[in-house]
Amino acid sequence: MVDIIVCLKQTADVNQVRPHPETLEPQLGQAPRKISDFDLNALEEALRIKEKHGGRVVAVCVGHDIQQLLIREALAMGADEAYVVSDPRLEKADGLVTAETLAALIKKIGKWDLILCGEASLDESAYQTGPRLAEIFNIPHITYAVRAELEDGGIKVWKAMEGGIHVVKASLPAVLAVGLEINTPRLPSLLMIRAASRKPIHEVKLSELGLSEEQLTPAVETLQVKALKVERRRITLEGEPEELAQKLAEILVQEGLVKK
Amino acid sequence: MSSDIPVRETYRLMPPGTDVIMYIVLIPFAALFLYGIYRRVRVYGVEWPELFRDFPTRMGNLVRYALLQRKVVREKTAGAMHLLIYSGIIALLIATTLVFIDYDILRNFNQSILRGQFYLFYEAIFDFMGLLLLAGLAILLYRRFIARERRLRWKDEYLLIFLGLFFLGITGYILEGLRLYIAPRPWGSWSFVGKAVSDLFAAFSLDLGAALGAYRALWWAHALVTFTMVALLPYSSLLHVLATFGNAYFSALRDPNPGKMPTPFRIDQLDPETAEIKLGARSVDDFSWRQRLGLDACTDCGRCEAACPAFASGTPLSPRMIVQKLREEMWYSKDKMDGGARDLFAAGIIEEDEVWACTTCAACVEACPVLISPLEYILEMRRALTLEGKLDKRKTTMLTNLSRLYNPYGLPQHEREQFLQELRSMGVKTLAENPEAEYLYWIGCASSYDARSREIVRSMVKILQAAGVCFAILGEEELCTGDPARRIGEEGRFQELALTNIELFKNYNVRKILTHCPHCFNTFKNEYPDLGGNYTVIHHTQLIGELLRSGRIKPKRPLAERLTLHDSCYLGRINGIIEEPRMIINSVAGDRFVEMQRIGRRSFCCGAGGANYWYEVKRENRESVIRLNEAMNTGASTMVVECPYCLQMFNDATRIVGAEEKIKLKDISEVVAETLE
Ligand SMILES: Cc1cc2nc3c(=O)[nH]c(=O)nc-3n(C[C@H](O)[C@H](O)[C@H](O)COP(=O)(O)OP(=O)(O)OC[C@H]3O[C@@H](n4cnc5c(N)ncnc54)[C@H](O)[C@@H]3O)c2cc1C
Ligand code: SF4
Ligand code: SF4
Repeated sequence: MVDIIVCLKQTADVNQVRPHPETLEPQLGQAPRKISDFDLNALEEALRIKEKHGGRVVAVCVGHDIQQLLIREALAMGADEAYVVSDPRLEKADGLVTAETLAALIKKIGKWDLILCGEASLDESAYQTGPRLAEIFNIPHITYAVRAELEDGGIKVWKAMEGGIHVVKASLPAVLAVGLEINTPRLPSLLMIRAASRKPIHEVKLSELGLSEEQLTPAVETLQVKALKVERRRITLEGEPEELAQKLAEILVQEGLVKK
Repeated sequence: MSSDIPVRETYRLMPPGTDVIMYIVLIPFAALFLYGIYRRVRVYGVEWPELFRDFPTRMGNLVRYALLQRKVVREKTAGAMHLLIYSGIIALLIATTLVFIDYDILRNFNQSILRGQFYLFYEAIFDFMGLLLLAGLAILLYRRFIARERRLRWKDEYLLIFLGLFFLGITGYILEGLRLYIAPRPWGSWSFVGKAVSDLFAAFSLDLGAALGAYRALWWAHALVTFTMVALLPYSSLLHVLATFGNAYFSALRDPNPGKMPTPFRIDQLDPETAEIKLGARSVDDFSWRQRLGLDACTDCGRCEAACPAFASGTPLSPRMIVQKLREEMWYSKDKMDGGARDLFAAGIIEEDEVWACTTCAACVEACPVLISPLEYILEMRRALTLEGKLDKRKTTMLTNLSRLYNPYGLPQHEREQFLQELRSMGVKTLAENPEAEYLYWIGCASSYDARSREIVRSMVKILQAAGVCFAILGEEELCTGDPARRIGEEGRFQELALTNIELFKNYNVRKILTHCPHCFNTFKNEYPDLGGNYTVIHHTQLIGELLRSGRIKPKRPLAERLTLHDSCYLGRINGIIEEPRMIINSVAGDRFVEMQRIGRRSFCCGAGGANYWYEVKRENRESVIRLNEAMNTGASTMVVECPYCLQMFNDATRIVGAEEKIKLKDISEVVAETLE
């Protein structure tokens, strides 16, 4: 029996974000929102552990303008209950603020053995929240997990590194940040999502968490985000293959893309 | 009792009292039979109140398909075989019943029907009918051992049934021969086969005492084998004899159109707090009683398998095996008294890819001689799998795309902006701009997002404008019909999309929908009515056909190529639109139109249907490649299709087999549009 907390972030569906035609800033508000992909993997992994070993799975989500329907999707997948903090102040939250808020919320939930996170979020991809959470609780964390198994009261994790796979172990409680490769998240059918309204969603106010002003102030300030504007040059070369290769090589050198 | 009047002499050569002994012996066999029937009915869980609803239709089906075997005889050899065995057995059954009436009933009143002229005919006719049975059995042997038809499966049970029937047929004649040999009658030659057999005994001057002994032994053997076969009927494949009648009778409970899936609930009427979350079938218990009864009607004939494109492509699916495995599971799980049937997937009875490989083409439904729809079982199992949600990446992605972007391609709405812009520049209006338009021209996801399929729309617009048809499109507001969601088993998502579309149609007061996609066509026509959407739905082949007939468009430039036509499953077999496309091609190509082997209702699937376009199943071959080869065998240089998915599948197939230069693919609207220029 392990009780698992899964951190779910609601992000803009980045595939549907379009830059503003003039300012080139991403129009995040216009894109539909979804649960960050990695977090669905985290939830799926938690559910698989639960199916095998028993226990509870609790979803936590903090942010601005949290959508109930998306929380219900998580409950429909199989989470037992959800804790949500929805506050406009969290719109500018960075990894620091997010981790502090999540930690304060998790402290309210009571007993847990494992926290599962995505390794990064779909929209900002900072790779921050998981490790920071672990630091706050002063417990071990393992990131980039591609496979995980409970073993002798601890957790054994296959961790994707540049050079290959590291197999590491940690005692519980711990924080695990998972990658997309770890599983294929189950898809809750609409019928299940409807039925999930029977499961509890606990709304907690940010003020109830007792966070200090410092904890709620982002450490990072984003000055500007802009889409790259790429124009193709549409150069057409004509001639025999040998000539073409020659011409192409010359252009590449000219542009400084290849050194002679 | 020997006189000049020919008369049936029942028990003549048997010791007195045989009739009584025989009835006593019969009792346990009859009891076994009745118990078996009782058990089967219990296993089905028949809901009796439904028994007589819609009686005339049901009787019609029973007479047509069970009694007269209209679908059985569609195949020559197999049909002839079954018809011979069937009529042979029925005849022998009638013969025995007449004896029963004559001996066990009328005799008590000193009456007799089996005498005089009638008796002579009786002997001659039933001697002849016995030969039919043997002829049928001979064809059976031929199919098994000489033609070696691939679809015939071997079970020891089948051998026993064959031996039983063969034994009854042969011993009937030997008994008759012995009887005529021991006690010759002047009318003996009316039993022409029996007489010939008795002549044979005479030729060997068989000892009369031995003949009598043999007669009595064989008489009992004949009776016991008959009893055994009847007693075992509810416990063996012979049960199909009865279950077929039941299935034909109750098949009216199923929608006759295999393109319409049943609507188990209305998502807008469900109370999420109380509704039971159950959908589809994970065990034989989850099927309806009619569906369980249907399983017993299966004769393992394999016609569905022979017609199945997924089977032909070497996927794990065979519709026959689906039905047979479910049937076995129904017998097995219910025989064990440990309650509750097993989970079909967890117990390894059905592999998930078996149900995913189905293209929902309905060829199996068309082929089955006893009105079973293997497809309906498959679709129910899909629903159960999807409800649980543990789908692979491709299926998950498709469904996620449908819920986030309202199209299965996963392309954002703005991807089609440019195309819509182009249509606008051709003069096409949206319903918002032209609310009075007669037709809503439904573009469909394929032609909204796939570059090649957009050509169909361009051609259709040309045709519609040339004919002066008043139409409009939905533009940005068009969503998926929901067909891929429904076919993959995600009923809720389907209904959500459908209800949104229905609401939109209501706002625009849409009455007539024109579409060039057979899947959209089928969904609007057959499935939206359950959700409150009733429209006149027209496929572009129908409209083009009408425009040609009425002369509103006239082909100017005849085509020079040889054309062949591929019937899309959802248009031809499922919705019966077969003549229309042929009439169109004839009017633009005349005698340069060549047909493939399998056409119309017997057409072969391209492999895309049932949402198969959106995921992969392990396979040895592709439906599209098999079909493309059939098309190329006609010598045609153009294969005409009526569906954007067929178009894409066959386009891929030409690349796979490297035939891009040999055969071109065109939608029927493109062919017509070309001739207008
Ligand atoms: C490429 C890149 C590199 C960066 N590198 C640095 C750096 O080196 N140092 C630095 O200070 N900043 C860095 N930043 C910026 C900054 O750290 C992020 O903006 C900040 O971490 C925001 O967090 P996130 O939303 O990306 O969450 P992540 O930390 O990426 O989220 C990881 C997981 O935490 C959980 N989680 C996150 N938010 C929530 C939530 N609201 N509710 C529930 N669960 C949640 C989810 O499980 C999620 O999958 C970087 C940003 C980028 C894009
Ligand atoms: S519907 Fe078509 S693909 Fe599916 S089992 Fe029947 S014949 Fe095979
Ligand atoms: S389902 Fe029908 S066609 Fe298929 S094997 Fe059974 S009886 Fe034959």
